[in-house]
Amino acid sequence: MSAINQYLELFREHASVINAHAPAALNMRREAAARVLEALPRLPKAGDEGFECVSLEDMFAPDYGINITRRKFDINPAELNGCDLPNSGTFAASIVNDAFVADEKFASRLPRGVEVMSLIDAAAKYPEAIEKSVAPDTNPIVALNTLLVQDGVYIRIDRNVVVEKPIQILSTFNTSEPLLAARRIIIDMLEGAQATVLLCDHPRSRQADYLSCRVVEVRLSDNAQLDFYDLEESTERSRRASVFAAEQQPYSTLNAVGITLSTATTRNEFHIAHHGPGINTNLGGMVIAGGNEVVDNATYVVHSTPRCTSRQLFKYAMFDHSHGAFEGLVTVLPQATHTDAQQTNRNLLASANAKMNAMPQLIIDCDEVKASHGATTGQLDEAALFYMQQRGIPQSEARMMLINAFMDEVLQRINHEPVRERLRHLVDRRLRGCSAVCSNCSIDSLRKQ
Amino acid sequence: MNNDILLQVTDLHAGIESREILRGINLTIRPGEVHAIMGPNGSGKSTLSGVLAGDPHYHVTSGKATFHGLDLLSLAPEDRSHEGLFLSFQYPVEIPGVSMVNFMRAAVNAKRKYFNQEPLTAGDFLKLMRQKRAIVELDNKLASRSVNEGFSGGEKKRNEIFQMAVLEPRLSILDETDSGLDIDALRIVASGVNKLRNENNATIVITHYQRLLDYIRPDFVHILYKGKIVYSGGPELALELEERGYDWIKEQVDNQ
Repeated sequence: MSAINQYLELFREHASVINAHAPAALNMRREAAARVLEALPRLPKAGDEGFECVSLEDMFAPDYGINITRRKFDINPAELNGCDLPNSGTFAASIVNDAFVADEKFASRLPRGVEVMSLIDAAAKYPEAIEKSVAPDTNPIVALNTLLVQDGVYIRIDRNVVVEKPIQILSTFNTSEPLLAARRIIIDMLEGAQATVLLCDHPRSRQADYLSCRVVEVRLSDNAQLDFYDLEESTERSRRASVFAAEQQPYSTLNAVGITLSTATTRNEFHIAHHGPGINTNLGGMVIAGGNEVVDNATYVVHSTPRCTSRQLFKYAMFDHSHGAFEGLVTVLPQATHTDAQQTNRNLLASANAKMNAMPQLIIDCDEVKASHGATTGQLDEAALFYMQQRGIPQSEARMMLINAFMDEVLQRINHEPVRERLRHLVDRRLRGCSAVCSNCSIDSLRKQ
Repeated sequence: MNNDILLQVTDLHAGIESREILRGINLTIRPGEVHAIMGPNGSGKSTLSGVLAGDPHYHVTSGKATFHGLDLLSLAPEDRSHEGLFLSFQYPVEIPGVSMVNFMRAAVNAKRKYFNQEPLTAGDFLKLMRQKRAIVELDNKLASRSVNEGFSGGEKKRNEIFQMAVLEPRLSILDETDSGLDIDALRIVASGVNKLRNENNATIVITHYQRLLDYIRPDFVHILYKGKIVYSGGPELALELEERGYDWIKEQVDNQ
């Protein structure tokens, strides 16, 4: 029996309860999502095409609770301030378990033309924005999310509004029971709008097993620019299945960087669609994994219009028994002339037991394009290590410096300087094995040497 | 010069994988001395410097090396460095993404930590860098670059001597420091080395040619051939090698 069934059964038995606690704009799509799931024999498993290391079937198999009656949980305000990124310099709100939470003054602090609200409120104010989705409907993560989602965040930046301060959404879990949270974040960037959005996944509590089934939808109108940074720093009891889907209009720019510093199992997908000329898409990814962590990034960039550019850079540093994968697919359709696409995946295996699968792929159906891809997996440069040791730098420190240097190229893609510097610090701290999130998620093999 | 022994190498055998390269090296170095080690290609010169510095590529099969009373070969490479051993690499390694400043700060503070000293303050560290850069006329702009990345051959070698100046080693091993240097760069590097010499430290100059020894005057010259020091003498030996080449040495040894 597939893991899908328990969710379908829940939906079939309790659709009215789910719908009663969610807006019509979300409810209207559930039936179609259920049909997508019913048509699947099971969820993808590790080894299936495009799934080199993560098994969604296993991830969704446990009987997590789902808070369909929207019971309110106690919220400890300290947890909301517990993000490692400085939220003083940001407009910060939270998703606690499955609900949008912001203090009462939050909305009034936002500049003109900037709206950040719960999906429930957004469905009342902007129903059309919630009704139409840019996420791939037939994707199993999206379908599961659509089937169950009841709340989330809606961010709307009005025409030509430029927001300097990042908008920060902190997602956390704090229940004592296992919980699956279906979270949806929708970002609308109207013509010429510019903003930085920072998502921080910090399920700090290790009281129970958690699964975040997350869909991020982004619509970039003409000339809009979104800088999107996604930090995952969770615990060995947290799993995440995430789909990031963006639809870009002419001359829009998307800079998206995903960073996984700790998790149990994470699957991130990036689906990018272009609708017009002159579009820029920059995707960056960083994974630092140790213990038995499993982290997978899959990208699907479709060039369907002329003169668009895409850049991808994903870097992994794998320790202990961790397992990572990168599946990147760039498709250039016949009409997408003068496409300039580049995809790079570089990986460091810092332990003999760590594993990495790299599947970079290009499908080009057009002659007038520039497209390249490459993947390398290697070890730390022994010559550099010895050179540093000869100068007195202890081997463990030298290794950390080399890994930091290796990751710097990804951090350089973060345009917002305070965010970049803070993330650099978090990366360094993670490599030193003293994450504030979990006391025992230090990278063993780095420490020993 | 004094009579303390800084480095005593006794019947050192070492190699790479199963191949023996050093076949019984004996060497005694006292503070204040400059020793040149010369020899034809493949005689084991770089192996000797690598083994003394603790390069993990090489393994020691037998013999001893005592460094001011310490069992050198039992120390980790970083501890050999802290204890005062410095190797100027024949091919300094490029380390993309690690800036010279961070690299040197890590090196200086690791040594201070080893001797239970507080890390240098930012101000003191920059002052130290400035002072030491002057010794080898190293351009300030290199400090903000990644270690050796994009440095010219001459800049790389000057950078080695700069690091040596910062770390103030008791024993410096200059491995083919003259290779790839034009005459001006050679002069700057040699003058840097000479400025750093004093009665308490010693230098091993590993070189294929006499040229560098015109600038760094050795007290002793040793000829390494087939993994052994086959001939030792004074500075005049280097001149003789320059004139006659290595063939007469090879013949003498091979016919024994």
